[in-house]
Amino acid sequence: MGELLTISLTLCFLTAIICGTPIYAIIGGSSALFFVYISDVSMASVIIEMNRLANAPGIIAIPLFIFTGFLFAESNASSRLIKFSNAMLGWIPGGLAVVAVVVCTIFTALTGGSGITIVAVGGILMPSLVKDHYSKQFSTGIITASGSSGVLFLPSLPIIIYGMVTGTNISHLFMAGMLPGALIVSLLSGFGIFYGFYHKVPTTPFSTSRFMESAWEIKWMIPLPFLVIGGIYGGFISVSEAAAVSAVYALTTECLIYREISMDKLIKISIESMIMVGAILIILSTALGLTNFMVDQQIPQKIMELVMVNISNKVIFLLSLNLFLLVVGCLMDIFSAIVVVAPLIAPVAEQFQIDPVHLGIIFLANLEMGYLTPPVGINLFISSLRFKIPVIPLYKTVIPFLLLLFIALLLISYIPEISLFFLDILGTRVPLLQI
Amino acid sequence: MGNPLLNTLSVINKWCVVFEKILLCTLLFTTIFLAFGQIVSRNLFSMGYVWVDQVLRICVLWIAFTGASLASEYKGHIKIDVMYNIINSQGTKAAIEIIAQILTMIICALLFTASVQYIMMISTDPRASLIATIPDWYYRGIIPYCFLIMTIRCFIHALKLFNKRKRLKKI
Repeated sequence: MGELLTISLTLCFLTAIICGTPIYAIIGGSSALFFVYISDVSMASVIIEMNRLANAPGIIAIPLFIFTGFLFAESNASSRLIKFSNAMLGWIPGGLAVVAVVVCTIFTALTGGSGITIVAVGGILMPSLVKDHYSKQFSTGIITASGSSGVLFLPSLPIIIYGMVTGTNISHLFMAGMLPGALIVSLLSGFGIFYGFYHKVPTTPFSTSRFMESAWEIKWMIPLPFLVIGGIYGGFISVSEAAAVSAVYALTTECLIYREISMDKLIKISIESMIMVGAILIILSTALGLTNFMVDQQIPQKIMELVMVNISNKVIFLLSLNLFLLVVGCLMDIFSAIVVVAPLIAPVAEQFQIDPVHLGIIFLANLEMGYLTPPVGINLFISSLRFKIPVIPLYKTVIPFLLLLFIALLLISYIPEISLFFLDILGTRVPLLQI
Repeated sequence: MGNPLLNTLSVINKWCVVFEKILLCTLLFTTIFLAFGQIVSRNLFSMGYVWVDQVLRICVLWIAFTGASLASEYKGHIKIDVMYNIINSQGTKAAIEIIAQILTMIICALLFTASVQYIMMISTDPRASLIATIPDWYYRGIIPYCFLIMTIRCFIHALKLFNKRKRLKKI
C-alpha cells in the first residue's frame, strides 16, 4: 500500500512538473505529503520549516541585491558600461566581442539572472556587433554564452543561495569564484579576439578624449564594485550589509544623480523586483521543508552509499557529477537546482575529499553551462525570443562557445587550485577532515 | 465574463493586488532604510540595535510571501516550461496550463490548511516572541494569507483559461 502511494504521488508530481506547475508548488506539496504519509508527522511541519527562511544567514542580501540589479537594468547603466568598455577595448581586434563578454558578465553578476542580461544588454549589443561586421550567428552566440558567465562573480545571487543552502561560507565562495570566472571570461574573450583577427573585423582606434568622456559618464558607477568587493573582502561589512550599501548607492546614483529613474518607474521597479524575490524565496522556503524531510529519512546517506558502491574513484565521480549537473542545469533554473540538488550532492562530495567551496564552484559553473546546453537550455529559448531566431539554428551557433565552456569546466573541476588559490593565499581555506 | 463567482473573486483579487503592491513597496524601503541605518549606526556611532535585525528578518519573510502571492497574479513563478516551449497548438497549450493551474491550486489549498494548523499551534504557545510582547502568530499570519490568495488566483486563472479554450474551440 505504501509503495503504491509513493508511486502514485511520484507520478502525480511528474505530471505536474511536465505541465509546468511552479517549482515551489512541487517542492512544497511533495514535502507536505511526505511529512504526513511517510514521516507520520503533522502537515504543519512543512510550514515550521518554511519559517526558518527568516533566520537563514545572508537572507537580507537577496531582496536588496535583486532590487539593485533591477535599478541598473532599467536605467541607462548598460549603455554607459558598453560605451566605456568600447572606448577602453575597442582598439583590440575583436574588441567589441570582448566588450560584449565583459559587459554581459558584469550585468549578470549584478542582476543575478542571465536572462535579464540577454534581454537588456543583448538588445543594445546585438546591433552594434552586427554593425561592426560581426556575423549575426557569432553575435547571437557570444551574447547567449556570455549571459551566464557572471554567475561566479560578486554579488552573484546563485552563490549567495548556494552558500545558504549548503552552509558554505559565502565570502569564501565569492573569493573562490574569481579565478574560474576570469578563466571563462578569458576563454570567451580569446575566442572573440581570434574571430576579430580571422575575419579582419575593423577596429576603432584608441582615443583618449573618447575614453575620458565615457569614463566621466560612468564615474558614479565605478566606485560601487570597489565598495562592495573591498568592503566584503576587507572584513568591513558582511554580504547583507554590502547589499544594503549597494541598494542605497544605486538609488542615489540612478534616481538623484543621473535622474534616469522617475518616481513612477521606481515604484514599478520595486514591485517587479520584489515579485522576483518572492518567486525565488518561496522556492527556498519550501525547499527547507524538503531538505529536512530528506535528512530525516537519511536520503543523502542512502545516495552516498549507492554512489560509493558504484563509484570508487574521485575522477569518475567528478565526471559523473559534471554530466549529471549539465542535465540538471538544462532542465531546471539555477535557483531550483541549487535548493533541490545541492543538499544531496554535498555530503557525497565530501566523502570523495572534495572541498565544499570547490564543489560550490563546480556546481555553479556546471549549471551556468547547462543554461546553454541544447536541446532545452533556458538561455537558448530567451535568445531565440529576443533575437527572433528559431531555436534549432541557435544550437549550431552556441556549439563553439559550449566547447570553450566545457574546457573551462573540466579545468575548474579537475584543478581545485583554480578555485582555492585565493583562499590558500589568504590562509582562509578550511582543511578537510581525513576519513 | 458572465460568471458571477469569477466576477466576485476578480473584484476581491483586484483589491488584494493593490494592497500587496503598496505593502511590497513599504516593506522594501523599510528594509533598505533599516539595514543601511544599522550600518551607519554601527560604523559611525559604534552602536547597533538588536530589534532592527529582528524587524529586518520579519520584513524579508513578508516580502517573500507577499512577493510570491503577487507572482501568482502575474504568472511570475519559476517553472520548467519545456512542454510549453515545444508545443505549438494554442488549444493544447491552454489545456496544459489549466492542468498546471488546477494542480497548483490544490497544492496551495493543502499548504493553506497546513499554515492554518501552524498558526493555531503557535497562537496557544505562551513562549516569548521574536519582538518584545508581540505574539509570533501576528506576523506569521502572512503565510496562510499568501497560500489562500494563491489558491484563489490559480482558480481565477484556471477559469479564465477554460473560457479562453472554449472560445478557441468555437473558432
